[in-house]
Amino acid sequence: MTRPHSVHALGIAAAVGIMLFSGCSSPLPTAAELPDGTFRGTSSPDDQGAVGAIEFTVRDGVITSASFVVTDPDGTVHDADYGLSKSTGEPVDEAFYQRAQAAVAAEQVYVTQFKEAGDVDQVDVIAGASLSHRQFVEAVEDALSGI
Amino acid sequence: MRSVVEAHESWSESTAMGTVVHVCLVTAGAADGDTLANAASAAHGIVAEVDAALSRFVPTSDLSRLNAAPGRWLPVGPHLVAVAQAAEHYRTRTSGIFDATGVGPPAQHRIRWREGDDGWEAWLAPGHVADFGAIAKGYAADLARERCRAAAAGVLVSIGTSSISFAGVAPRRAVWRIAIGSPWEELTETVGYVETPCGSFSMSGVRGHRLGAASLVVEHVLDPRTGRSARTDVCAVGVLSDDGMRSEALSTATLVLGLREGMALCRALGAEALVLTASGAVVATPEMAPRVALREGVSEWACRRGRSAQSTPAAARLGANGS
Repeated sequence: MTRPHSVHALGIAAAVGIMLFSGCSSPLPTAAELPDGTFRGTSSPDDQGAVGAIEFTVRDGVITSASFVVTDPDGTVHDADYGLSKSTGEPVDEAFYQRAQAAVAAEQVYVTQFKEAGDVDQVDVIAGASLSHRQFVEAVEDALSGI
Repeated sequence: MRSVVEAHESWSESTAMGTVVHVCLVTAGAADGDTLANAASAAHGIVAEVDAALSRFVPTSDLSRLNAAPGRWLPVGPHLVAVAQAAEHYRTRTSGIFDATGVGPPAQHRIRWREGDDGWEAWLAPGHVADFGAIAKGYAADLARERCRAAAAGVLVSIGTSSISFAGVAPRRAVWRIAIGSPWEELTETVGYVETPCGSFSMSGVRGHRLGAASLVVEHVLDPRTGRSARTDVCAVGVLSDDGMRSEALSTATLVLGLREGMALCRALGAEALVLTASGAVVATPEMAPRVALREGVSEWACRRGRSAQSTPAAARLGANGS
């Protein structure tokens, strides 16, 4: 089933929130400073012409929903089906897909060895995948440019 | 066994490499404030220096100049040479899966360097565009850590929370504790944490992935074999090694390769990996597993998810237990 990135609301909203509060590339208002409403913005094209578009909604100083969608010049959305043939629904590059799915027999799942965390919130730093790529930042800045 | 000492921590932050840089200096007992401030300043300064040399978005950077003039030898600084050497090394060691020079025409050497009378020069193969984003962060974090080592008993440098380098005394316990952010929409808390006394940790992946599909497309990571965004069964991966650039190269490669091939590659190159899959499983290499503690409820949930990608009520229960 096709599932566009627009449904990644919580994760994207969190990323927007982090960016607004930290002011990554230029001073930006915090979410608490924004009026209620829905904000939309787009990035400039990347090297292949793909453009990122963001939409997020603020209610009572909190980002309640957000979506970020990247679209190719021909209108193809970078969603869960990106890379699959439109006619067959199969991967365009079968060799890649097969290789990526190939199992290495020696590997196992080791979750049972993990210890339970009793004080999981007492940490030194929280590691997370970065979302601070250029198009995302540009789209947020564009969305807030009229404020 | 490392002992816990009465330690004091001092945090500072700056903006560089398109994100926020955090430096934590730990001292055992009283410390000279000026010494700490100077050490922190040096750490932030070297990250800014690397950014100025390797940013794709600064027209005057060594990297931008190189990308603008492929096929020509250009004078460059030592940062570009150091990262280019590592990038080519890991491109070879990963059979091209980690590739910082993008998709382009076949070339024996994508990027070359030489030291002449007037300093370093570099050359980029025509048709290629170099992007050292992640590996440059790992390089900068390690450099910044080393700049502080003499001034503090313990150091942690975080660049964008995805490139973390640390050594020495941790502030609250015998080892550093790094929480793992959840890539899953269904789990808004951290997954758990990794404990380790030293090393360079790289986290790559996505945020806000909704469980259900066995694979996803990671838009910001290119698969060199297809020239398109990577399709993978890995939502997020954390790689720990003794070198920031190795951790960065392998976390990116694991995203592209997928769970089993990626973990095998990490082990082959002497790194430890923690993988969070698109279907909700939590998997670690044997060396990494004892370092990991999962938040209450995640272990059972991950075991179920690891066996089946079917949606279960456990996901909802996890939210309650994990909050």
